Amino acid sequence: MVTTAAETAAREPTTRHDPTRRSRRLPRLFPTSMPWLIRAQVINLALLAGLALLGPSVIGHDPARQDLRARLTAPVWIGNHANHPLGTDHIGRDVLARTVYGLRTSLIVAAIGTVVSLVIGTALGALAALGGRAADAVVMFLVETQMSVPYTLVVLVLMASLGTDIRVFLLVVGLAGWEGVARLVRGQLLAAKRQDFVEGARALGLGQLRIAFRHLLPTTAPILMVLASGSFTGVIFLESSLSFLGVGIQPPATSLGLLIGVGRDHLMGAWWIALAPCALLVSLTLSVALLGDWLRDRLDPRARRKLTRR
Amino acid sequence: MLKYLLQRLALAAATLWFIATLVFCSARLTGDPTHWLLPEDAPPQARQELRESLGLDRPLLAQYGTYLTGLIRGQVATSYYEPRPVREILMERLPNTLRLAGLALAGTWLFGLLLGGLAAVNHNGVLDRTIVAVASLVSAVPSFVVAIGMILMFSVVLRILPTSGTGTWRNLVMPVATLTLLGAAGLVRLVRGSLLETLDQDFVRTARAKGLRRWGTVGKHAMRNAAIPLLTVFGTQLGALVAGTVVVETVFAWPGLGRAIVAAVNTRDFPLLQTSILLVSGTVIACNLLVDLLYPMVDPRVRLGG
Repeated sequence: MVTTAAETAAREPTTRHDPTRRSRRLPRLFPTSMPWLIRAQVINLALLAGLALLGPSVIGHDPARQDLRARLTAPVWIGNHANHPLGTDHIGRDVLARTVYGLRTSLIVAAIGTVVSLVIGTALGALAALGGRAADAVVMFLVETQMSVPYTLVVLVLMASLGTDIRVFLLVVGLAGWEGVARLVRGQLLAAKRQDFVEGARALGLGQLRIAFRHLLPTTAPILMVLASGSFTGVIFLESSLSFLGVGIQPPATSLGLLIGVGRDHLMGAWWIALAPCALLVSLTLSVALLGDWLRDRLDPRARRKLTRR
Repeated sequence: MLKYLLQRLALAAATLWFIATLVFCSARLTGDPTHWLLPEDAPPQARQELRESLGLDRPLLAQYGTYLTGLIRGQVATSYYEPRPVREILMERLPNTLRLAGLALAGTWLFGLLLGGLAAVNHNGVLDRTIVAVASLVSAVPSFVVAIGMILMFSVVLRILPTSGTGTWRNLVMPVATLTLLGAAGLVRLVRGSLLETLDQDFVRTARAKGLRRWGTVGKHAMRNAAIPLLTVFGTQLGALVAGTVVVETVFAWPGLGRAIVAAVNTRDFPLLQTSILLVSGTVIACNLLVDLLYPMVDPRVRLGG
């Protein structure tokens, strides 16, 4: 059916007096173009963040408290009393409380690691694009070196020598994805540099630094948003893998990877120790990945054409 | 050509040197290894003797020199904990890792090319969408979670596969399947993208127009051209495989190089750690170099030296 202009005009006044219109004035929670699948991911991430923030105070169990008489208690749905809803581990600690604390650590590490990798990557990418040929050569050499090295191995060496200091760990984990950030930021800045508005700014007599910070760097914002989701996933993968191997976050602190590592040793008898951390970790990485894919398709038309051609 | 060749060689050599130096520095950063090799109350005399026998009493630059020349000559140190050369330990572990990684690599490319090809040919069809969706889902799951999921399914619930150890082919199934699944999930999207790009080009339309069948076109013309960009992916995939192998070997208690590396990190066995890290990264760097050198031969359109 074809809607004519007259019909549309006829419908206009009714919507104008529609009582639901008032709610339209409130800021919308989601952009209307956002598919339901993606909205679900945003909600899921908000729930996970809320759980990490508020969970520990609501649950009431101390994640470090051992109850040796209640070791390896099965979760409540296999018929145990509700004191430990998700069961207990091999020394009687509450699995639910530990999972929530682990989630909190993992999220904090991922957030800080992402910022580290974005800051280092952007700084070096900008240096390569705007700092002259020598700087470009040095940065690109570093990028190629980083790309040809299996970074997980480098991290293992660093963790062996620098020990388990949390600040060092954050830096090391954040260094994981800087080369991808640097390459894309450099490419974007090189392209932006050639555009007319930069020429115009220079003609107006603006200084190099002012052009760089006020006119060039802001053009990288959409790329950085996509890169942030990629970095976030990368950092979570690296942190949880290292903690799983026992060379990342150290007890008494805990993270999802570390909890899964402990759970691995008890899979045959007490599978519930690993179950909740695994579920939270997967729901976290899946949500971030789906959101990142969607953002990339929205913000980078070139990528969209490549993925869903014709 | 020569300029390009030299440039790539220099980059590979520099990267290797960078890693060797990093490993050396990190071993020295921790301070005196006699602190954790000897008990607290060991007499200073014994401490000094151990330091001398490890060569730690010499100036740092001299140690670095001995270390580099030793590497070039292929001499390797003795492990801190096991009284035998690191080489022996590595030679014992290496075949296990090669078996695991080799099978996973073959599986990754087999399934990656097959499913990626299917998806591209079926572009925007149900099969395509399913393959892409499953690949995206799997890529968002960390390797050790996949491994634990497999253990829960096949060892705890179905009880048909052993959770760890070596010996029979049954021990290999889950580790190889985990690595293959993760590798193929990453590869499928790349194969699909590269193939779609190629299928859009004129020579493919010509091939179809002259009456070649759909699969004939894909196999004979498109796949070959799509393979060129995939060659560069090989190096990255190998790096991911190495990282995955370290984790998977630990999950399944597979006595390979990866587990030796993790154990060496935990016990700070630097001689063992140094040699195994250099061995693995050397292999990855060599493969990257090989890909760089093969690239202009496979694709004459690449402008060299630029």
